[in-house]
Amino acid sequence: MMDPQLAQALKAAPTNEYLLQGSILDSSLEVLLCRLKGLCDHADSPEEKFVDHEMVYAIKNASIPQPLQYSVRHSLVQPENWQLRYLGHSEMGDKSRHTLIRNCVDVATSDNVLQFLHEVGFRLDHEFVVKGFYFHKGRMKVTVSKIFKMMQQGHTTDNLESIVPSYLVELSVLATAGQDAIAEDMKNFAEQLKPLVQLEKIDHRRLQATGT
Amino acid sequence: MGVVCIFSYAVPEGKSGQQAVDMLQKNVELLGATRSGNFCVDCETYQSNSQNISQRLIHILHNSEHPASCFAALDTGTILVSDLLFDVLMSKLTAAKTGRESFYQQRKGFRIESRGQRYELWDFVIKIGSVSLASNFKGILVEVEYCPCVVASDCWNLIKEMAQSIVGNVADNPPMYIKNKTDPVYSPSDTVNQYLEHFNNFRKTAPQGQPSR
Amino acid sequence: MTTPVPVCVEAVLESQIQEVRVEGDGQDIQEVYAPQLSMSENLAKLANKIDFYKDECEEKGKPTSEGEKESEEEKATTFQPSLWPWDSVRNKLKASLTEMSVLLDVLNIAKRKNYMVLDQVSQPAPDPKTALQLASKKQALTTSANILMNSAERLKKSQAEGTSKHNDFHIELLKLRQNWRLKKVGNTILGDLSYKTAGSRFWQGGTFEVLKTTTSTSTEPEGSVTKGGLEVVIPNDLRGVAYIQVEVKSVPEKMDLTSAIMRLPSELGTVHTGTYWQQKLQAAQNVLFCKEIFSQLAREAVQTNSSVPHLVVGNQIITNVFPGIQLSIILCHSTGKEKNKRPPPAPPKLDHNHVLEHSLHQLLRELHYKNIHYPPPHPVTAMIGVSKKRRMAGPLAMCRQDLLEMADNESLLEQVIKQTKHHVLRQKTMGVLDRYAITLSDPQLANHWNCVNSSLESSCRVLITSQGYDLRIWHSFMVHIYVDKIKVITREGRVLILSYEEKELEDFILWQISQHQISVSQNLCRLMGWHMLNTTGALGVSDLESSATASALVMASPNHNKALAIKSGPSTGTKVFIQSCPKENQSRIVTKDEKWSFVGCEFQEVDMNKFEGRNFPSKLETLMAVLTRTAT
Repeated sequence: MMDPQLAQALKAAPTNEYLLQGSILDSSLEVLLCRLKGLCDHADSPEEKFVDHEMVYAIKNASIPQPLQYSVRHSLVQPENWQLRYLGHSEMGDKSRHTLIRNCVDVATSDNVLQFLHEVGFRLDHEFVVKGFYFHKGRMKVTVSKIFKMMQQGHTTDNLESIVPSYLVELSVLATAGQDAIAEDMKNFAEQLKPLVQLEKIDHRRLQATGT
Repeated sequence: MGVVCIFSYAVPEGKSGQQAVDMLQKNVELLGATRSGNFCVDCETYQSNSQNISQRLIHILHNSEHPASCFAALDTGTILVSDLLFDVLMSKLTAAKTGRESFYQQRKGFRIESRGQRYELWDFVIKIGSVSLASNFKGILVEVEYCPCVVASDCWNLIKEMAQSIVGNVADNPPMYIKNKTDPVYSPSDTVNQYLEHFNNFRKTAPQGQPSR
Repeated sequence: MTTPVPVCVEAVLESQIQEVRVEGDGQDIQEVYAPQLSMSENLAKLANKIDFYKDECEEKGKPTSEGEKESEEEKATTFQPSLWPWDSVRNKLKASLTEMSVLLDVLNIAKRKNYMVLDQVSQPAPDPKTALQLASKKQALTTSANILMNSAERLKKSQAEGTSKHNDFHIELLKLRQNWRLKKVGNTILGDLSYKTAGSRFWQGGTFEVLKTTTSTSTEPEGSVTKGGLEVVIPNDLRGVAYIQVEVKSVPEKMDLTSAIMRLPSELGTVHTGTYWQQKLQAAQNVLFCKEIFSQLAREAVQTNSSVPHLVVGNQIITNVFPGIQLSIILCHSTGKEKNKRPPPAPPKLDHNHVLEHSLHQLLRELHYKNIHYPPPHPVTAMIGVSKKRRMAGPLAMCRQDLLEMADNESLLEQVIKQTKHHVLRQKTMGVLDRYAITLSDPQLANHWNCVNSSLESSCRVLITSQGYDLRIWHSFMVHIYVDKIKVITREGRVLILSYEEKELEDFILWQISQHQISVSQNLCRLMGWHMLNTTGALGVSDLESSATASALVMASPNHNKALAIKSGPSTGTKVFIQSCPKENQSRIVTKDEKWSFVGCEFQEVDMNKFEGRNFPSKLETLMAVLTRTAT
């Protein structure tokens, strides 16, 4: 029916994200970018910029206290690209594991995804704009990004306000389950960025606990 | 990708579904079409749980002609076209964890599919599918696609001529969906919508005792 | 009973010949015997012959017929599952017990000294020669003294160099550091000349070592270069010069159609001394690159299962591009050591081009580039390494045909074969067109090659003109050359697909020429006021052409009293016939009107060679002019 090779290529999508996070102050951005440019693969081309608009939708139910959240990522650089994203709970693991692991499903969709979510029963929870730079080293993806609050709903280009004077640095790899060797590579890479940025596994639940 | 018209072919009196399919295949082969593998369009339906605010149906369809895509059609008419991974997201919506009910649940015994032989005849692609609802034979759907064109009204006459030589009078008028379509440019979602329409009709006639294949 | 006779157990008293001296003119031959061995010496000699490592049971199996049988029997028994699990253990214990008893007996006998005396087996050491010892000691001392002196010299020199900036190792190192990746491991400085950072995934590394120049060049190891205070040591397998040679040849005639040979500057000595290590590293890097190209191609040649099998023999990959035409890709690598006895390089061709060789390099670079340059993900959460088209495949509901095309990425070898095919085809087409352009004078061919082309497509417009008539009358066709087919588009817009066979194109050209002659005639007819009676592009009568069809034209003079018929065929050429009217015919005709006088008259061929004129149209014009005048 379908080319088996093709079918396999389509089906076998990795859904585990290995993640390390850190942050830097605005002032040290230049230095970090320089270091990343030297370390990462596409050293000869200018750094890649991105601007994304993220909308987080949630569905609630009378019997369910905890909502289910899907986020919609819309690239403002290539506006035809829409993605629906599900993030599972992040697992801290013990000390022997160097990175955070979370279930992560990215689905490219058509542009009517907002309408679709609304009709299915999702409601907009919050939204923000992310601007930043992207690097890669092999399968590792490094993003240095700043999160902006949207002062006016739906306005993604103007009326933006940065929340904190710092950049979020993320090092992530998408892999299929059980590829723990990749965590080792990530740790080594993070080591090389050490004095500039401290990439660590950050427990989100504890952040949430302190936030509330 | 061109324009697709789907016709429901009534099984003649005194013949089994398989015989009718064989006859149609013979017809198409006599026209000079060559076999080019099989095809399958399947549809699974989910409905929202009663506690939800609004009652909704989500139909998840896959079409082997678009192997990288998953179509999610709502009863409102919205169709979301996405990656195959959407199935994973759907499973999150339907998963019932401890202490909580799922948001949507699958309708049991509602899986319907059209499966059969795919033919190519120059610019046309012809598919003869036998429809089965929960593995019971329900009827025959014949799909005629004219590849070089994307405007339905411009190539209806060509499709009509081709379709009439296969299914006869059923193809005298364009399918209702094509007629009512406002956007002149045809897209893959339109094919899915046509299938969905036919599938829903077949489901309505569910209780009747059709001779099973 | 007789008295017992003593039997001597000594060896036969025969001295072995130690040497044979030939004195004088070969007349006097003298044999020098070795001295007889004493009893103990003899014993020692025999004892030396015994192989103590040999197992006793092995000796049992010596090739006597009985022994063989025995061992066979043994084998037969051992093959059976032993009846008792401790059987082997018992056997071994028994054997060791026997050996222990024998050892005890030997010891007892030795101890009593009645029967046997233990003597030292080894021969007594020769007398130490004091003179020799002294000499060797002296030599050792002088060599060590030399080493010390040398190092002292070097230290002195390096002290002296410290002041002069000219030959500074560190400045050179700095220069090296700016161009190459270096790292310090322990006390050595290692560099990397591989393409790994540029995206290569070749298994072979390219580590080289950086050393400080020792000024005493006489003791330099081979292969290292000493200039500018710094030297690089390149691994053995990357030394020398390498290049990839691509050859396309037709197999039966062994004729070279193209041969792209790229040679590197093999005379390293001519390079400017200051940048010596740079040249050396570059050459080594090129060797590595060529090796990678070849191994990649060889791997693909083995892996791909095409209809035409690819052959990999040694450093050569052979494949057929067209029947009878072979593509061979050769890795030439001459290490520095073989430089002297290298066979003389193939005679350099003046018309050789680098195209295929160059495109191989280009293709691998592209591959490298793709390995590390992923298309940027947008939104940034998308998976990396996925093209935008693939990302959009789901939402755009791409059909399976497109998806298959997208998933299919061509291998290096396939791409090169494609380019070769196009190259061969273009070369052939060019040859055919040029040949006709040179040989034909009536009409003439003019080829205009399109300057915009790619490695897989090129096109050419061919004009057919007749000299003197080319302003108004010309015929043309387009030739598009693809990978393994040629598409020709005639003036009328007819499209024909030709295969790689030259004959097809030749036939087509001849047919076009015959068509041209008719269209020239038509134009003349119109210009001179004649009437066209009939024209046909595919004449059904007359002799059969070897290819295509003949075309014909019938025209009448302005006052309708003469008619000309022109037939033009690709192989039969152009012929002109005139309708002649014998005088007696007029009398027989019932109707007196002049216009009927030609009915039933026969056509006769006109010998166009007798006419003056450069080419067919001018001859025809003359004929028509004459006919027009005579008719009036």
